Amino acid sequence: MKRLVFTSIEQKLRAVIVATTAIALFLVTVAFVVNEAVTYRRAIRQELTALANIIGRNAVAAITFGDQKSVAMTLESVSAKPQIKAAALILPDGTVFARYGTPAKAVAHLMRSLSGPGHSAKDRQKALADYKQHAERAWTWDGDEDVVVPVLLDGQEIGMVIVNSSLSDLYHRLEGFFVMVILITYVAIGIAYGVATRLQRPFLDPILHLVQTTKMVSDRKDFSVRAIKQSNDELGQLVDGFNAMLSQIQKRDADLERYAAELQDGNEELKSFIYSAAHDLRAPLVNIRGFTGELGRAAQEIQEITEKHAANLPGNIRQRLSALIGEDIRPAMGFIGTSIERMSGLINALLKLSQLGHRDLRPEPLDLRDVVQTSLRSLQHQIDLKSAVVEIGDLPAVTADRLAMEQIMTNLIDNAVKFLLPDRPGRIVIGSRQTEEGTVYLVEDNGRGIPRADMPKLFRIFRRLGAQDAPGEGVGLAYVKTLVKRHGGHIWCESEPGQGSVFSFTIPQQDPAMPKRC
Amino acid sequence: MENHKSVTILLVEDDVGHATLIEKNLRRAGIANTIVTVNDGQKAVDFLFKQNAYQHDDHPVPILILLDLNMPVMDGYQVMKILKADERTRMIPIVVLTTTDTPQDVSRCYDLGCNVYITKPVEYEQFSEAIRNLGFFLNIVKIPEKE
Repeated sequence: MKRLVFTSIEQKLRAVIVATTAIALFLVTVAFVVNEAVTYRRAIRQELTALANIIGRNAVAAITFGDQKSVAMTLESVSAKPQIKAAALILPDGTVFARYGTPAKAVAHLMRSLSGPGHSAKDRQKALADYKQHAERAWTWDGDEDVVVPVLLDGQEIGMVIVNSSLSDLYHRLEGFFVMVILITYVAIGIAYGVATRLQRPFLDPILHLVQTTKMVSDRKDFSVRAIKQSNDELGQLVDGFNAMLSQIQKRDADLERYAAELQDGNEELKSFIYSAAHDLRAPLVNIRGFTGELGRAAQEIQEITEKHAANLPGNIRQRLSALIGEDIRPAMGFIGTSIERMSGLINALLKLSQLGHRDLRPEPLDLRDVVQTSLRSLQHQIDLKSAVVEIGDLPAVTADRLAMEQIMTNLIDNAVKFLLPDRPGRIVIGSRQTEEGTVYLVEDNGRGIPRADMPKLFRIFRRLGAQDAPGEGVGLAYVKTLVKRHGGHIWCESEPGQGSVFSFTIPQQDPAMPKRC
Repeated sequence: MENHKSVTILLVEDDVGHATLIEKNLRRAGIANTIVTVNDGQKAVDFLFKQNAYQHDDHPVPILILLDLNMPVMDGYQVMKILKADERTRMIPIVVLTTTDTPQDVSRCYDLGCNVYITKPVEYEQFSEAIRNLGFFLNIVKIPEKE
């Protein structure tokens, strides 16, 4: 069955009610018509049989005396009934003793078979038997009713009376019925439509109200709206359930907002904590660096004094002194020096990262090709060293902070160049593709790739992955992630070890209110 | 460089280590001026205005201030505000020496009237050169005496 394609539930409901009414009405009508036809035919058959019996009884003497005229008169008397088209008295040998009316259909065929020339007795018998069979059948479809009644004398069949009646009366009546049925159906459907319209309100109104409420909730993002319960039936339960769900969502929404605020607070706190911690680490570092220098100078002086007075010192003391200075103090100073440099670098990186979150972004419409060109110029030396090929694909305009975009691109391209494999020509593609969530910007390389196990650590600060054969503090991707996040976007990486990596990020454009701090 | 001796350097620094290093390096670079060290901003202000502990101190002039920013009691910003607001101390050159290098802090210091902003750890060669130049500058351009 084809589905109902009405737009509203109201129309569907109405269609169902009207269709049900129409089907019920149709079935009732069919039953009525069938019953009418059966009853009518049974009645007419009884009537015709009675009539034939009377004719037969009246004809007994006439047959005996061969008085065809008298039988013909009797037959004629049945003409009082207009439906009766023909009647006849036929002798057992098939001779038509008397007849009346214009035979048609089965009777006409019988008459032709009985009285026509060239028909043998056997033929006539067969035609008679056929007709009898036809007449005895309860239902014939030729529009006539035929009755055959034997004429008996002392239990002996001496002839038979056949009466043929038209069923036109029945058909007239059925035609009348048909017109009436159409009329009634028409009226009934009209009434059903009206009643359906009126009766479906109690079902429809709560549903429409629910629909309106859900629309309100989703349009205004207002979870404090509640649907009004109008009845205690299943629809009432639905409204209750809907309201309960809204309450839960409202509570969760409030919870989420609170968590977000708490997270934001915690994040801010953590950021300022990182900033002050890193900043305060600088003061002792200045001392360590400065006094290491002083110690170095002191050692130098001791060495000079030792050398100057070498002649006055016993050999073993001289050796011990130069060993202390050359093998203990100097290497120790060396280690302290490199550690200070490393620590200073880490502290600077931390400070830079925590300051990134506080710089005000100035979003402006940017031609990303310009931005990428700027980044490429600053990296030209590295790119030339690796003789890498850089391709710039389609880059739609974006509204973002210029400096941030430059830093993002420079860091990503720098990484791509840094981790190219020496044994195949480097190829870096900078482009974009359109997805459901807008433009995704891509920096793709055919470098050494990133092992799956290292993926979760990729964007964390101070994480340097894989072979430590390239310089860096391990902060580049952490910067990039911070900058992308501050633009409301997100960044991710797909990589196949040994094949290359693709860094993708989004910079959402629809929301002009960018989070200033995150 | 005899003329440099006349300039007294007031080093305002709460970290003893930093103070020691600054002094050592200035001396090593050949700066022989008197260096007075105080460990918080309040003491610097007291020293310059001859008040509280420095009531009976003889006030050496001219003066050059090496100022740290993060200090207990009174920080470097407050010191600068007070000095620049007072006619007597308005002209004293101030060199800010600090571990902070955020652009906001640097511009705030220049707004408050600092002459040179130097970030620790210090490149002592350049630092000494700057001090020398400032001292030289002080000796040529006489500060009008108000007292």
